[in-house]
Amino acid sequence: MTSEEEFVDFAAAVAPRLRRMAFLLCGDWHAAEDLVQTTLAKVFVSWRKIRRQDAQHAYAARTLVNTYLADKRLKRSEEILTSRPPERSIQSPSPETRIVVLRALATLPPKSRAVVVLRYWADLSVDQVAAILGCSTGNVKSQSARALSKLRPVLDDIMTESGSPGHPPEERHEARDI
Amino acid sequence: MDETSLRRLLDRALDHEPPMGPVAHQSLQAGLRLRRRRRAGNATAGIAAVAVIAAAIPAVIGGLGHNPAGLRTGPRKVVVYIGSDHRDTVTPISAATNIAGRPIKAGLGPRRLAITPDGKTVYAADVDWHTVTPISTATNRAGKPITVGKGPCAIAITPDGRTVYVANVISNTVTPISAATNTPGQAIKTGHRPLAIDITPDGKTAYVLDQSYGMWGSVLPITTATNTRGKPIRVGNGPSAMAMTPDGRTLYVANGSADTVTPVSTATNTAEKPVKVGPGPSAIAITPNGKTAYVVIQGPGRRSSVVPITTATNTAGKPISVGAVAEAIAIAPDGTTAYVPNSQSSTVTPISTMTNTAGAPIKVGTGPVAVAFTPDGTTAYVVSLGADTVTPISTATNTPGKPIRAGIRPYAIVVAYR
Repeated sequence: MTSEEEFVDFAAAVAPRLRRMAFLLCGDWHAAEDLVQTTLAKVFVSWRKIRRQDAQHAYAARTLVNTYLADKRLKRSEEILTSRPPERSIQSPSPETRIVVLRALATLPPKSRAVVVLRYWADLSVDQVAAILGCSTGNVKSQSARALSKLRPVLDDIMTESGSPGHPPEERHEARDI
Repeated sequence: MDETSLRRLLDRALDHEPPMGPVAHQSLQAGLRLRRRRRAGNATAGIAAVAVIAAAIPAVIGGLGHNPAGLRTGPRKVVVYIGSDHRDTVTPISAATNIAGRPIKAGLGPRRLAITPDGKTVYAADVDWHTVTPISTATNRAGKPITVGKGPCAIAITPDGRTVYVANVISNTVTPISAATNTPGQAIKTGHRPLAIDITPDGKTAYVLDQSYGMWGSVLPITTATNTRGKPIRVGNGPSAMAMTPDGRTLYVANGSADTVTPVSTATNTAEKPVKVGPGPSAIAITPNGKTAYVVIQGPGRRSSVVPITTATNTAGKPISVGAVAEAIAIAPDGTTAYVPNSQSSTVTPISTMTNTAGAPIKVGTGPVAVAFTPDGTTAYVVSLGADTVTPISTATNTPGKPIRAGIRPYAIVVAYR
C-alpha cells in the first residue's frame, strides 16, 4: 500500500467525525466540508512524518482547529459580532434545538467555541485541549468556565422546555424571551 | 447543565447532517497541490513562475475589444469577481460599496475566470486540475464542477453565450461546454500546450494559440459550428499571448522568444510579416476602436515597457517605459487609457492612448498581476497577489481607493454587470 493510498484510507475514516467537529466550530456544513478538506490536505503534506509518530488523529484535530482559528482571524473584520444572546421571535413556534444550540455557540468567540467543542463534544481532557490550542491548561479552564456561563442561560432554557435534550421541543404556545 | 447534557445538546446541533462529498480523494489532490506549491517556494518565486501564463490573462479577463462591457449602458448592478490562486474560492466585490462578500467555493483553485455576454454566469477554471465551475451571478452560488481536460488555462465564450471553450494546457485539447446544460462536449485535439483562446465577434471561429511547431507557435482555427480543426497557422517562437481586433479581422500574437508580434488575418488564415517589438512580449491589448495594439515587453533594463503598434500599417511606435515586471495590460472601455500593473514595483502605470505617454505610477498593494474596468470605465480594479487585496482606482483622477481584502492570493478578475 502506498502512502497515498494509506492517506486516502485514513482521510475517509476520519472525515465524517472531522466534518462534525468543523460544523460545530463554524455552523455551516459547506464551510465545514471545506475546512475538512483544507485540514486533510495539510495533514497529507506532513503525512510521512506524522505516520511514523502514529499521531495522525491528534494532528488532524489540531490542524482543523488551527485552520479554523486562522480563518477566523482573517475574516474577523468582515463579520458582525454580537454580544447579545440570540432573540427568539414571538410569532414563530419554538425553533429546533439544533438552531438554538448553533445560535448559542455563535455568540462565543472562536477560541472559546473551539474549547467547548473539543472538551465537551470531542471528550478531550484539559491537557489535550491545551496541547491542541497551544495554550496553558489554566487558560483552557478559564475559557471553558466563561463559555459555559454564557451558554448556560440559553441551553438550560431549552433543556427544561423540552424535558430532555434527547427529543426536539414540542411546539410552544407561550413564547418568552430568553 | 452538566457535561453529559451539554454533550447531548451539541450532538443535537448535528441533526440533519447532509451527505458528504468525496472528501478523501479531494483532500489527496489538494494535498498534492499544496505540497507542490510549498516545494515551488515563496510568493516571489510564485509570481515569476506564473508570469508566462499570466500573459494570457488579458485575453480572458475582459478589457478587450469585444468585451461585452461596451454593449451595455446603465448597468444596474456591478460585481467584481476575484479568483484565488491558492484557495478554492471566488470572492465577489460589490462595485457600489467596494465591500467583499462571502467567498464562493468554486472548484479547487479558480485561477482563470470568464463571464458570459449576458453577465449571468462566471466560469472559473482550476488550472491545476481538470474542472471548470459555473457561478451564478444572481445567487453567487457555484454549480457542479464540469470535467474538462487537464490544466484548463484559458476560457472563451461565444458571443451568443451558448458555448464555452476551454483550452487545456496539459491535455493538449480544447473542450467545448454547452452553456445551457453545462455539459462538456467531445474534446478537440490541439497542438502542444494550448495557452490562449479567442473567438471572432461573429462566433464562427475559435482561435487557439499553441506550440505545434516545437518552440514555434501556431494558431489553430476551430469552426465552432462543427468543432472541427482547420490548418494551423505558424507564428513566431515562444508564443505567449494574443488579442483580436474588435472587428475580428486580425489576431495579434505575441512571440515571447522571438521578440516580435505576428498579425494573423482571420479572413485568409495567414500570418503576416512579424513586427519587431523588443524583448519578451508577454501581454497584449487592443483599443476598442481597433487602431492600436499595446504590447507589454520586458526591458530595457529592469523596467518593462509598452510598445504601441498601429494596426493600419503594422508598425511599432516608441516604447513607453512603465515599472518593473509588468505582466498584464487592460484598456478602459472608452479607449482613452491603458493600465499596466507592475508586479515588482507594486504600482499601476496609466498610459494615455492619445499621446502614448505614461502618467505618474499609482501605488497599489504588493504584486499587482491583473486589472479590469467597470463597464462605465469610472473605476479600475487592480488585483494584488502578494497583498491579498484588490485596489479600486478612480480613473478620472488616477487615485487609488482603500484596498479591499479579497481572499488568499487573489489572481484573476472579471467584472459582472446585470
